[in-house]
Amino acid sequence: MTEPAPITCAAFEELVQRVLDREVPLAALETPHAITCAACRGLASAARVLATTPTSSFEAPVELADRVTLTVTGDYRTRQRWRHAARAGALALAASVLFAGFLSLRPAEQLEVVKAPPRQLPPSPRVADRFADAGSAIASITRKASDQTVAPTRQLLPTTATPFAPMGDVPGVEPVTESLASVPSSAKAGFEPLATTTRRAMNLFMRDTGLSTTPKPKS
Amino acid sequence: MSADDDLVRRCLKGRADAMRELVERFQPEVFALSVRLLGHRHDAEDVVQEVFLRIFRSLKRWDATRPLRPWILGITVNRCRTWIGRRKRVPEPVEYLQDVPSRPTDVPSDELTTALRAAVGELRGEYREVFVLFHEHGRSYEEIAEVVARPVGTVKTWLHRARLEVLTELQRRGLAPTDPEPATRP
Repeated sequence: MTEPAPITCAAFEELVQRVLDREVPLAALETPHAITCAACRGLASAARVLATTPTSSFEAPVELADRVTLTVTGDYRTRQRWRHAARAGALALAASVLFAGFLSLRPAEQLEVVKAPPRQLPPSPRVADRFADAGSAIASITRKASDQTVAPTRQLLPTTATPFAPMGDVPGVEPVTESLASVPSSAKAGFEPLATTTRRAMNLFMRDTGLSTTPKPKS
Repeated sequence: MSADDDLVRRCLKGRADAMRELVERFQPEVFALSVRLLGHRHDAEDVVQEVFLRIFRSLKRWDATRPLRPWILGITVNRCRTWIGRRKRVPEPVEYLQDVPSRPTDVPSDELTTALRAAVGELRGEYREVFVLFHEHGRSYEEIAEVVARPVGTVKTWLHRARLEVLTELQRRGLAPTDPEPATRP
């Protein structure tokens, strides 16, 4: 039967660790190597002391639990109060920032309004004014027409300011398409002097300008 | 919904009875761990208050898919580290050192226990944390890895080195006999 190989000091030290780890029993330290090696023998002896010496027990003071509980509950309440205060402060700060932002926007809007003058739309014309303007326009047209008709009769010689068309293009005074006889007597009375005057004026003009074929009466 | 999840939900709603329940459930372990890491009861009481204040302030960030205990112990370890760092920077008055020793005097006066506590107190911060969590609080490697926020392999390495330092200190103090045991006759 072969004898087991002698273990080395390193291996014995490993064995001591396994004993203290409670992997192997304390009796495993009783090896031939421990008998022959003084260093390993001392190690084994110290390991037995360590493994067999009871650990000290330390009892806490009776009131320590009360003291600690009082401290932690008081600390919890204080932190809750600070948390609520911080939340309220944060809300107030946020509201102030929003309000300040709102105020800072408003002056800019007012400046923009001042810079551009407001567009003033013309007041819408009154209906009465429109009728009055129309009446004035008709009256002026009528006056103008009568002035244009009567004015040349006031002059013996027509002015050259009035532009004339080329002689070939001068249209002759067209005969009255309708005689005054067809006009009612009351209207006829009103138009008679105008018509006579107008006819006379035109004949004089045409004779003097050479457009008329009617010979000039001897003076 | 787990019991931890239900408790946390009630605490987040501000219920005083739920807060008390959480304190009473975890305060013993938090206090014991603080004493073992700081080596002083009064310091541990102050740290326990700070731990629970921090727990309730950051309860919203707790991942409900993970257990609550490692998360709470992680906060405890971090607060103890901060306290130790602060204690190193601020010189302590002589009276304080005389009246409030750095090593707890109200622990059992057993020599082995005292020597063991002294040896653990000499360890560097992260070694002491993993050693205390494993040997004095009975936490697994996986749980310790979650508490100290390190991989399991790193936790194993730290714990093995911490053990070797403690075992060496015990031998130095003469508390580990090295005489070979007499061979037993069959």
